[in-house]
Amino acid sequence: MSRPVIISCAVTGGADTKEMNPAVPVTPEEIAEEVLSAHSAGAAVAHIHVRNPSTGKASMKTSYYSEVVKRVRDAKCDVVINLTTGPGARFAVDTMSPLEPGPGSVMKTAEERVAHVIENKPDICSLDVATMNFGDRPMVNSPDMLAEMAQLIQSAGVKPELEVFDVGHVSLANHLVKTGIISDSKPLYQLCLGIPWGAPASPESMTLMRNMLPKDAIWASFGISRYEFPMVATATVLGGHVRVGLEDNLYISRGKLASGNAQLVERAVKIINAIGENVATPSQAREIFGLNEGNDTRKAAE
Amino acid sequence: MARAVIISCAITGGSDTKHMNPAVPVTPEEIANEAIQAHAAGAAIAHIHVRDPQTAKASMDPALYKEVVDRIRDSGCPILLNLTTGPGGILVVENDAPHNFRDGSHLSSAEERIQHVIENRPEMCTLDVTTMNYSDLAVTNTKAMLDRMAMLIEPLGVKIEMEVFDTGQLWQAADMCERGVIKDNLPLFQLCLGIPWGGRATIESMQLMRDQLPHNAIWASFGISRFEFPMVASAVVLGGHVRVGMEDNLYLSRGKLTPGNRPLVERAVQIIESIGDYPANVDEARNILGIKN
Repeated sequence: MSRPVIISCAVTGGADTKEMNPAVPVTPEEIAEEVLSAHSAGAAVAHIHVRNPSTGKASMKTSYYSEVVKRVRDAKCDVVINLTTGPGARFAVDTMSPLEPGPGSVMKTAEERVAHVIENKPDICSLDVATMNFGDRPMVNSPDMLAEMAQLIQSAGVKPELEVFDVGHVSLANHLVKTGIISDSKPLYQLCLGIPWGAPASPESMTLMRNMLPKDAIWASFGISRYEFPMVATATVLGGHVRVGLEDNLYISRGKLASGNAQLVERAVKIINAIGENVATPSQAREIFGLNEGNDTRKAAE
Repeated sequence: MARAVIISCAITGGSDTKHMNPAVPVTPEEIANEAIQAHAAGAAIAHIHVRDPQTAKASMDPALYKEVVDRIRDSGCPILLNLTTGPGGILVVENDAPHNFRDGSHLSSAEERIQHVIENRPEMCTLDVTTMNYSDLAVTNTKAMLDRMAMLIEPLGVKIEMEVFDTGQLWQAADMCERGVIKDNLPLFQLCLGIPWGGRATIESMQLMRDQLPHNAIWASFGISRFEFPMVASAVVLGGHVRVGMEDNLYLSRGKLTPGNRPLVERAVQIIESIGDYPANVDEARNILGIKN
């Protein structure tokens, strides 16, 4: 029997990618437009970061999030909205005097990191269950900080998506579920692969991490850059859901930039269908995620 | 054909374990004696931390390291010495003011972290290629810090053991080799398993990490607590070297504290021999690791 596979589209991310692909959306309007076209192409979930419209750099400003969410909802688009809570965990040390935060350190409180979630009540928000070297600089999310964020997020009726980047992160996420800090009968895991220095994007690491998940977990996985499509196929075969988008990958094929998020989603649709599964609609995704009416912002907006 | 398997013994570590097992060595004399005993039982490498003799807590005092090293060398024991450079990367974030480093943070410069290596010139020292939640604490070792430490250590003629606790850390360590920051043509990886929140102490994790290693890598692996002996067996079967010791595990069997490091090493010898391999002596270990006399 064919299985509905949920496609998430990570429409823009927070990395400095605008100069690498001009199709990367920057303003709230552009981001909302990309969400709508990703949805038309088959995405049931939109994973959203915002950017400063003047600089193109990552932003944490609640008003930008509110504008994106309002534009999507006003368009009567029922896509499941997933806002990031990643920014605010960038730690930099001064190597010569390491007790001083170095330049580029951006460490925020739990309240600051979820303010846009409390304000906009999306269906889902991400929670980075990860302390790791994220490229050159550490991303630091201590278990204490995660507990505080989880509490604030769940009190707002928002479902956390547990983003994990390596094997040990799965163990910590499992611990948060087991101890009730994540109180969700269908805990949602996102296995993020291929980001230096996290787990590599390979069928072996995805399989290992999948095998560690609790029985009632819902999971998705993605690989970045050239591993985006191979990992769509792998997750589909292994029983998970998938994610594509310009946050993770700027190319449709080697040397050829993607024209927008819709093109990446269309490719994921092709892969899923060719394997013999079908693409989940937003309402099927809501059912799979166990999203109740209470945190369905589409209903609330009507 | 039987293979020579190197046993490392991690003598004492830096955790507050003295109250959990009174056999944990604390003074430089106790630590040196435990290393000598471990060698007599079959260990070819002693992995060494030091402790404040008064409080039994972890210390970075180079004088304590010097006393341990001198005592072992003066005894005529040839065991390879592997000093830790782990302490100095602990970050405790204050939730309400995350730019303040809360009490308990312990961040040192690269020079401070390897002072005892510069002074003592052991055969080997560790390098924790890791940023992770280490139980409730965050351990941070940035790229800049790791590069600087590696570039200071190798010209001393000291071999680096890259300690990695998860698959991504292994990837970063391999990248340091690829970039030539670590120049060793037999790069040594230690796969540390079962520490929350790192890679699990399972055969699957160990195998996944082994399969990611550069072709010229030498590797060892260990699991902590009750996974110590199962991971000895796994590493032997998968072609790696092994580590036991009171840093990683305080028990000989369920509920039965070990009276010292020696019985843990003896158990590793039993496992290795019963599988059909044999414990490497110090000369064999030098040869495998490319450490000159």
